[in-house]
Formats: sequence, structure tokens, C-alpha cells
Amino acid sequence: MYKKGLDANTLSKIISSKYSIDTKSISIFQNKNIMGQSGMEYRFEFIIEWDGVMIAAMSSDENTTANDIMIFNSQALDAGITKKAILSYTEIGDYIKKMCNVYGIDIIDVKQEVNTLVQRAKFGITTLDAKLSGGLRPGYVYMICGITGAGKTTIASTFLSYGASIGEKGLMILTDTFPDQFLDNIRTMNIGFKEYYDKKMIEVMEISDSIRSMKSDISSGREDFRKFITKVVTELKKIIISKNIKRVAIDPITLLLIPDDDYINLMLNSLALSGVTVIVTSGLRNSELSMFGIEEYYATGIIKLNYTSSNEGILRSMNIVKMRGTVFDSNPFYFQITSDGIKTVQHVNTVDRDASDDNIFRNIR
Amino acid sequence: MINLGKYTVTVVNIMTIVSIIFIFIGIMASLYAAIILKHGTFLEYFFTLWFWIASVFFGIQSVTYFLSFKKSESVYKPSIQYGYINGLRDRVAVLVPVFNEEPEMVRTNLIAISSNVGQNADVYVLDDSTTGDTGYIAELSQRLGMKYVHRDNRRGYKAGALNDVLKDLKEPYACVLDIDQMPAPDFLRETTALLDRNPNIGFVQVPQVYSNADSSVLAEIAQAQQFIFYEILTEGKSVKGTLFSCGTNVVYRMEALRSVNFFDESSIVEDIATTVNMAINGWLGMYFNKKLVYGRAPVTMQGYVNQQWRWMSGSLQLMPKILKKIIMSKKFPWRQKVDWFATTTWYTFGWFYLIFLISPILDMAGIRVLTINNILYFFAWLPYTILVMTTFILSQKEKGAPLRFVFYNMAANVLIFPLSIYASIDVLLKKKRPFTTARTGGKLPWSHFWGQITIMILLLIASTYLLLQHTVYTYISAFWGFFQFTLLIPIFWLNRNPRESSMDAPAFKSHGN
Repeated sequence: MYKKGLDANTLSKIISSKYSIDTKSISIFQNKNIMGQSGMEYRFEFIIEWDGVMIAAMSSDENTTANDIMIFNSQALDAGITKKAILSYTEIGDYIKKMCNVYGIDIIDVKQEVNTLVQRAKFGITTLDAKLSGGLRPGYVYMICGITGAGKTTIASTFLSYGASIGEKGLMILTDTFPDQFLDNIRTMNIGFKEYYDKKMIEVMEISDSIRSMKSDISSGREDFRKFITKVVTELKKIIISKNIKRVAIDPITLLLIPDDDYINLMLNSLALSGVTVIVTSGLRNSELSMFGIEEYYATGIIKLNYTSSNEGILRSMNIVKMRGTVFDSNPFYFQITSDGIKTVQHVNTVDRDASDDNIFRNIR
Repeated sequence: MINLGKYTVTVVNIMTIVSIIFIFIGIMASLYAAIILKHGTFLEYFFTLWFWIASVFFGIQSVTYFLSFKKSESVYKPSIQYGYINGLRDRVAVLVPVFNEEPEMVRTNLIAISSNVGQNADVYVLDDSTTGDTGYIAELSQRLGMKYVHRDNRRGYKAGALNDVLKDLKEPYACVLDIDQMPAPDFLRETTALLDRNPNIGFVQVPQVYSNADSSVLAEIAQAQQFIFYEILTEGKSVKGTLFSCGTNVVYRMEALRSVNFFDESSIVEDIATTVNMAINGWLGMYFNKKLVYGRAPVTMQGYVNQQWRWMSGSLQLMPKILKKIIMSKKFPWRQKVDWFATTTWYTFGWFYLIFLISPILDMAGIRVLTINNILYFFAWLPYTILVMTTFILSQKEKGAPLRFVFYNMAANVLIFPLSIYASIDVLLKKKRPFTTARTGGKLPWSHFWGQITIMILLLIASTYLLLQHTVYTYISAFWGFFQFTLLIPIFWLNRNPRESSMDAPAFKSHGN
């Protein structure tokens, strides 16, 4: 939770993104006194100026009353300031919202704005990035799920390729295919994966035999699961840190998991590393979102892939099911997997939507 | 193996009580035999007395072991008021002492520590290294956002390094993690939750787990020794209020540390010494038996000897302090006194194993060590020995130890008995040795084991000789001779090069680049 009290620097960045202004031209004055036309002097928490535009801003939280807003509005008017904003730290009630609307006061959701300031990890798929408010937030673990052939590996590879194209090193951990086969397959798609791999911008790794045998010892209860998680996570982080990797994909995560809540919670939480975006993929078996029906509860966000076959061919869709700490659009969009990678399909005729999708949304919400 | 099913707990519990009774009966019977029945030479009296003191020593150790076992079975679990309270956690200073370590292990574990201690911790890397280039530690610490502290002197060794940093810290909790330890992601969350809940507790200790126990027989023996300590003894100590911290995998309350002016720099076992100081000041420890940190067993004989030597001489050095401040103090109840007494005297065990080991050899030479008549032997001494050993085995099985652990545990102390003798002589002569860690050194020359090998040869000869005498007495003596010979056999497996542990095998294979 962001407490009251923004620093000028952050506020300047928020204003810059909100009003599309260059931060260099923004000046911010904190606790500034301005003489009103009535001869009274008022103190404003923030006065923000750029190119002759002036905004008066005040912070609001759950204790802010309608009266406070009225006083703020009238003081600003008296001081000759027409543009006003409140910096809200908590959700604003409907009554105050309406009031701000009437008075022409902009509402700036500080938490939301600060979140968007964080450099997000884009997929390079415009529609998806837009629905994600700009991309995934680094430092968290996300899951991409879907039935076989839905495009999980393709999306994960696209995520790494795009990252490499903007200078972020990627790591692909394969748990069920050999790297040779994977590279042979992915090179047929024109997303630059192989090229970035050759330039060492993307690492491709597989899990070792010793990990497989340790995992089977855990499944049979012969080995302590915390030890296994500690080992896997530590080695992974050692690779990430030593190679300065920013994006990680584990495809699929299932082979590193056992169907146990404590285990999956600890494993998925432990994979998170500050500044690094981790995506894991999962097929569907026990639930509409994952193999064990547990994974979805412990991932920070979930993107679900689906497809239906019709006379016109395969219709692929994707939707964001869950995305903590981000405003997202949960409506599905449609795409094709082409030789140039993922292409969004703009217009779709009557679509036979999978009826179960609605249930998923209800469950998650 | 004996499988008593659901009745195991009850049976083992009853057996512990019967064993304790028979320990007294056995000791009294042998004393009676020695004084009343004995008509021997001076030498026989001398060895009989030695043997009897050894029986008393192991009697006390066994009683505290059985009491700990009983406590751990009945009271330990309810004593842990466990619960993770969100938002109640305070910041923890994580102190990681480093001294001339293997770089790859340092890299791996610093990454494990930095990423697994979580957001609420400030990590301090205390590098006292005197050899090699340790610039990489400073560089890695900086990259991982950990504070790097390097000292040019080794004042106070590990305790000194900890104290130099601790004195200025503001965090309410301080955790010590040795560099060979790898914490699990929930280690601090769980331990600080316990400190939050129990404001009168000075520290929380979690077990040391040797995750590389599959790398050698030596590592497995070390793990077996840890098993008894961390599955039975510490659970009992936690309940009895006699727990001491074990130097790593422990989170202290800063207030408790401050009350004793931080770590005790006068001792090479700063962990136990500091805990003794805390106990004197009224701070108790809590043992949380959950595997939350993964460490490494010594894999070379030199490393193992270093570790055992430090524990032995350190604990023995503390004996006068514990006797004076705890045993003689009116503040402590007698149960705690017995437990502290057993703890502080434990590492003199070498002297007492020695008399057991040489008994069959003395028998061959015609010196009878335990002359006891048949009635006493079959009704007091034999039930005592059989009961204690069976209960010892069953209690470990009940705690989930594999059968080979039980054997290793019987063997381990016999195998290193000379070390305990050397350590106690050194302490008596006040000889000083530098602080060493369990991760240094390699194989030892075989001449180092002359004591054990000589005893083995003599035991074999004596037992064979006694077996051929065809009397009940010599049969029994021969049996013990062969038994002890068997316990010494692992000595030929200990001093070998380790293989790669599954914990050290890479988890991910790189492809191509």
C-alpha cells in the first residue's frame, strides 16, 4: 500500500505519463502558498506547472470528505487555477467521484499510476500488451495455460524473443523436450528465436537426470520436498544472476511439481526474483486452468489459451484470467500462429465460444 | 526389523522407564560386585573402578537421552505454539560468516541466502578470509544488495566477526547462517513467527540437515549423529529449558543477545557459550524441528576431525563455567542441572569407551575387569545392557531412523574415541589451537588411526582366544570383543575421497552456448 506523501520526482513521472508531457518541462512545487483574488492566501499541497498550464493537486484517502473537496475546489478557483487533480491513495466513493466530475477535478489513482511507471515486460503482441496495461510486471511468476497445441510454447518463445530484441536476456528451461528438437522446431517460425539464441541473448536449458530422479523420490515420499525446491530454485537463480537474465520461461512447469498445495505454493513463490519476469506454462487436466488444479492459485497472473476447430479452420483465442496488481481486460481476443509468429485476428465472425469460459471467470472473480 | 505397529510408542515409552530403572540396578550391582565380591589384585581394582565410573557416565548419558526421548514424544509438539502471523514480522539481520571457503560453494549459497531470506532481511556477509582472492565475494554481495564486511584481523574468530557488526545493528532479530548452509524460502518467515509469538524466548534453532549425506560413509555417519541430536536430544532440551544454540540456522532476539553483551568471544564454541550466558540471564531457547536449512556434512576425514575437535575441546572448556554457574547455582532446577551436566561431560566419552574396548584384551591377559557372579550378571547386568541397547535402537526407529543410522550411531563415537581423549588432555593442559572449520583438509594419513587399528587387532586376537576357552564368562567377553571389533570396521571407509552428492549435481543442463 502506498502511503500518503509522493515525492516530486515520482509525481512528475505520473503527470508525464498521464498528460503525455515531457518530464523535463514539468515543475512541481510542494506546499506552495498562492494569494487568491479575494485577498486570502491558500496553501496547496502540490502545484504542477508546464508550458503555462497550472494544476493544483491534493492527496485524498478514506478520511477525505465531500467538504474537503469543496474547499479545495473553491480555493483553487479563487487562486485562479482551473485545472485540478486529486491524488487518491484509496478507492474513492461514488459520491466524491461524481463531485470531482462536476467540478472538473481529475482523479489520479496513485497506486495504479506508480504500477504503470514500472518498466513492464512486453510480449511484443500489441493486443495482449494493451490488455495487460503494458505488459507483465517484473519480479513475479505468471502462468500460461492451455490444452495441447494451444500455443503455450510459442507464446513463451515469443516473450523471450521480444525481450532479446530489446536487450533483455532470456532463459528457456525445457522440462519435456530436448533442446535440439525444440530449437529445430522454433527456427521454422520467423520470430528471431534461433538468431537470438546464436547471439547468446537467449539460453536454452533442460532439467538434468539427477533432478528427475530427485523429483521421483519426492513423489514417492522418500525425499524432503523443501530440499528439492531449495536446490532447484537456488540453481536457477544462480544462472539468472550470473548471466544477467531478465526473462525466464519454464515449459512446462508440471514436471517440476507434485500435486500438493504447500509444495506448489512454495515453488511458485520461490521462483520470483526482483527485476526478473518468470513465466511458466501448464497443460490442463484437473481444472480448466492447470494440470493439478492448484497452480492457478499461486501464480500472480494467468493467461489462458484455447482453440476450437470449425469448417473455417482452427480458431485460436487467448484471454487474461487473473493478473494481480494490474488493471486488465479479461475479454478474449483471437489470434493465428503463422510462420511470422503470433498474429492477432482483428475481426471474427460468429464465434462458437467455449461455454466453459464463462464459468472460469465466475470462479476466478 | 521389529515391527510393533501402533503399539510401538507405548512399548518404547515403557521400555525407557524400565531401562532407567535397570541403569540404576546395573550400576548398583556392579558396585556391589566390585566392593563385596571382589578379591583381586590392585590392577583389577583399578580397572574395575574405571569400568564402574564408565557405567555411571553412560548411565547418566542414557538417562538424559531416554528422558529427552520421552519429552520429545509427549510434550515437545504441544510446546511449539506455532503460527505464522502476517504483518507481525520484524526485520532480521542475517549474518553470514565466511572464512577461506571454496568459491563455488560461496557463490551458490550467497545467492540462495540472498534470494531465500525474503524482503524483511538485511544480509551481512562477514568475510574474514585470509587466503586467496575474495574480491568476488565483495562484488557478488554488492550485486545482490548484501552488505560486505571484511576484517583484516581475526579477533575473536567467528564470535568476533559477528560482534563487530552486531553492536551497531537496529534490527530486532539476528540470524546466523554459516556459508555452507542453504536456507529454504520459508526459513525466516517460520522462525520469526515463533519469536513473535513467544516473547520470552531468546532464540529459535532449527535442525542442521546434511544434504550431501549421500557423498560418503563419513557424511552419512555425521548425518546419523545429527539425527540423534536433532530428532531426540534437542526436542527434549527445548522442553526442559536446556537447549543451546548450534552456531548456525538460528535466529536470536537481539534483546537477548544484548543482555549477554553479544557472542562470547572467549570460547571456540561461541554458540554454546553464548547460550549458557543467556540461560544464566534467564533467556531460554526454542527448538523448531522443521527442515528449513540445508547444510553440508564434512566430507573429508580432516574436516570431520576439525569439526569434532572443535566441538569437543570447546564443550570441555566450558565445563568449569557450566559447573559453577549452572550446576552449583540455586537458580536452576535439578532436572536442568542433570541435563547440563550430561551435555558438558559428554565429550570425555573417549576415556570410557577405552575401558570397554580394552576389557576383552585385559581378560586375555588374565585381568578381570567386571567380576560379577552369575546371579547378578543374569539378573542385573545382562538385562541392563540388553534393555538399554534395545530401547536405544527402538527409540531411533520410532523417530524414523534407518537401521544403518542406528549402527552408525553406535559406531561413530567408538570410532573417534582417541580424539575425545586428546581433546580432554589438551583442555586440561590449556593448549590452544586455531579455529578450524569442517570444510578444510582432505584425507588423513593412515598412521593417524593407529589407536583404532591397534585396538582392532588386539580385540580380534583377544576375542578369538577367549572364545576358545569355553567358559560362560569368556564366551560373553568374546562376544563383546567381537561386537566392538565390528563397530570399528567402518574406520576403513571413513578416510576416502567423497563422490558427488545428488545435491551438488547440476539441476539444469546447458545446451550449446
